[in-house]
Amino acid sequence: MIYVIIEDSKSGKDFWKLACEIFWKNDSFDIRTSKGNQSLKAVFDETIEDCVNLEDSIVLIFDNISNTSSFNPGNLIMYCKELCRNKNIHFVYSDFYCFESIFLSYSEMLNMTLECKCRAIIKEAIKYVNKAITQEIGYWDSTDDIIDKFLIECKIEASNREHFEAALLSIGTKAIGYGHFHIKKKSLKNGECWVKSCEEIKTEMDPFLIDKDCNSKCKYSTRMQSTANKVEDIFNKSILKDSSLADFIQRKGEYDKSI
Amino acid sequence: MTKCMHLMSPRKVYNMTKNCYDWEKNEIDFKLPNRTHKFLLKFKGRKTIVSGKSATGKTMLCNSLKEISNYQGVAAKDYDASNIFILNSDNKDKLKEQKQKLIVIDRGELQIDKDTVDFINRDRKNRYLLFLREPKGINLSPNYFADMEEKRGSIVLKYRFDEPGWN
Repeated sequence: MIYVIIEDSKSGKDFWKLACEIFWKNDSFDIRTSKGNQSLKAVFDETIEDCVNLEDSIVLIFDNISNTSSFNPGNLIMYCKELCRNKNIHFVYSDFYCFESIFLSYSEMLNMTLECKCRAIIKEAIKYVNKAITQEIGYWDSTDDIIDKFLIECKIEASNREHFEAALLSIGTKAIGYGHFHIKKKSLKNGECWVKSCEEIKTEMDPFLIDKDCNSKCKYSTRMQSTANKVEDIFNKSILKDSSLADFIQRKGEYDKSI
Repeated sequence: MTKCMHLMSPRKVYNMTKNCYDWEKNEIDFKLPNRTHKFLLKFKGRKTIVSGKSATGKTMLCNSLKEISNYQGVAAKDYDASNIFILNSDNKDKLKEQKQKLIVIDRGELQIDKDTVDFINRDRKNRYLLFLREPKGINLSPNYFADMEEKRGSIVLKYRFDEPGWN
């Protein structure tokens, strides 16, 4: 059994649930969510108690890897690693900064935003962040004039990198201006064009909008493709490509591409 | 001339001093003659949290920097710490005025309150070295958490994590 512990209860949870359903058989995984980072340890403790098979794995996916007032993710990882080692359980944790980093590093998201009509500073910031994430050079904790300019011009108050990335992703994807590409923090529903099959989305769309947006404007490279192909594309063209998590998910995967 | 020399800082006259903290290299590198160890702390980013065991050199570093800042004794004459701001209860109100400084905060759990944490999280002009035993709300990835240790006669930083995706 693969136990997937997800800190995120919003759009991140929607994404990971979809990825698990695509890559793994239904009876081979069990998703568990925590209410915020403070209950992650309790969820992990419960989960490790349920691990009875040597084939069991625990996958821990953080919403945001940075330290908060009452939570230190580094300490939790060291704790989980030790317990899993003692019980011979395979342990994998997310090695990217936060959920938003996945989409901000996705090359298609970069292409789509660079083509849309929006302020130059938004495009500059997206381009800069995409490069910083994909080349793993980091940016928030170094000196970044473009980021500072973006925060001032867009009047964004971000006290941490996750807040900043959520704001940038929302502004950038909203600027695409058609379809359902707008990724909000709350849910992936408004951004379902990235991950769900177009056929499925179109069943709930106004025929006028299908003609106006989907048939005329949409330039998404995986348009008209299945959910599995869309999610796989994100795994292949974002920071997930070299992530330990993606490696584990795809290695274990026996998915049905027709989904 | 003699009077003038007396009034001026010797560092300005001879300009032979070395910065303890090199902003470009983002590292602390100095050794006081009366100390057994050199400090060689290479930072990865704008903020570093050191939260290791006692007696690893944290307070000694702060005391050495204070000694240099206050120009106490001959031992400190070779170094300049003017781009370092050591926060304490007497100068807390000056924190928000700092620009392009390495802010060093010893015993952070006692020194910083919610307002200071919020300022540090938003501050993009300065860099920080925080000695903290408990999380206080400083937003930072585990890649920037380190312990101080002795290595070949130098006190260095040993980072706890080095996940490229967390940079």
